[in-house]
Amino acid sequence: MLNLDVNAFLDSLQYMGKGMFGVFLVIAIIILSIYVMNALFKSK
Amino acid sequence: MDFLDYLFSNVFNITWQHAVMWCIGGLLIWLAIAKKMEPTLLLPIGFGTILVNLPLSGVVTQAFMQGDEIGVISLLFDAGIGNELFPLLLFIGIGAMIDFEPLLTNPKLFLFGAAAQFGIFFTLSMARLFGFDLHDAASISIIGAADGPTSIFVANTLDSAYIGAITVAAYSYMALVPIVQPPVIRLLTTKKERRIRMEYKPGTVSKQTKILFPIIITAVVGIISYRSAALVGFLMFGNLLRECGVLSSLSDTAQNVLANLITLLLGISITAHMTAAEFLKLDTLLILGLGLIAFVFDTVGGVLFAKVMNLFVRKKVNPMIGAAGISAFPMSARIIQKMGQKEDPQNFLLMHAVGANVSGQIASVIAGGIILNLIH
Repeated sequence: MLNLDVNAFLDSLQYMGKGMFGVFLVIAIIILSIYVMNALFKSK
Repeated sequence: MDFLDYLFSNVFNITWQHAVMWCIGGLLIWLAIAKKMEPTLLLPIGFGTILVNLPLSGVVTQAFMQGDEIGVISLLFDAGIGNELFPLLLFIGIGAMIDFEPLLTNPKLFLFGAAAQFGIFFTLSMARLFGFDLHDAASISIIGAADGPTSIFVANTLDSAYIGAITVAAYSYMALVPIVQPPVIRLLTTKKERRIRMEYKPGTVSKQTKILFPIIITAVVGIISYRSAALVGFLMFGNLLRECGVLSSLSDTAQNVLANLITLLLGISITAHMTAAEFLKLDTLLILGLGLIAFVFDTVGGVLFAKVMNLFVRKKVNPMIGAAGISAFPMSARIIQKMGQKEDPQNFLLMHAVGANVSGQIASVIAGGIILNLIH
């Protein structure tokens, strides 16, 4: 188990890139929708 | 003495592995009671660990000559965790407990929730480096979600053999957030940065926004990160019960009765996979180590993102807020408030930290869904 698999590590970096991009994309859409809601429904 | 065989025959079935597991169970119970570390989870897990490691006890499914004998804890696992039911029901309670107002007041805080998921993806790569297959590596990495139900949901969906160790690691490190995060934050920030003050304007969010928020989040996340639709849907359903203003008794039930009942069953059910044969492996130690890496790099991701953000914005952000982007709610927010006040007693970061912290709740679920989208 303790044999280090460098190829698997390098291969998995794509998940880091795609994963973080995906999380930020979804969050960006959510932030945008909150701004729209806050603009449409002002607090009284 | 033969006439006593019927009383003591099982004593000879005890192995040193069973004894080690009893010690682990005892340690978890001690941490829960003496150190008050996540007692609602660690105590049932500790007790269950002792129970399932009594030889021939019958609480977990065992093979006998006449066929398999179904154990009650295995039955609970299949009925509540094997089909993801318990983590989802627990999310209704968690959703009902969360007030998203600090986040809705300052939506930019959501970015810290996203950045603080870095530990998940970094740990996935580290787990691959240590030789775990892709499904197990992804399951281990989700410890970095700092969110028990999400960890259980993802590990179970990916059919990981390490679900017991992953759950114990996730809940243990959540309890250890006050020990894990401060040194990492201090290492990455200067005293001057830790003293940055941030203005907070409360009460600017309308009731309509609070009601629409859970519905829109469910639709957006459910469409894009569709694998997390169930998790985020149940979380947001709980929040809608809280915010709608007409179901206060259901909201109370979700926050208290439902959450407590499911937590109780969840803890004991997890121990179906805490038998000596499944738990006492070198891999378990590696998983505990990787869990720590996940929490450390979540914190690193959040803090560094805030520092980079400060290069571009006029109103500077206290970079410690970035560390609150992990899902461990409300421990992480409290730590940031404490650290901020230690540097400057007049600095009140709590509401910003709470905003980042609840954003971590949603971001960790999204990250879990994206992991499943990418790998499953």
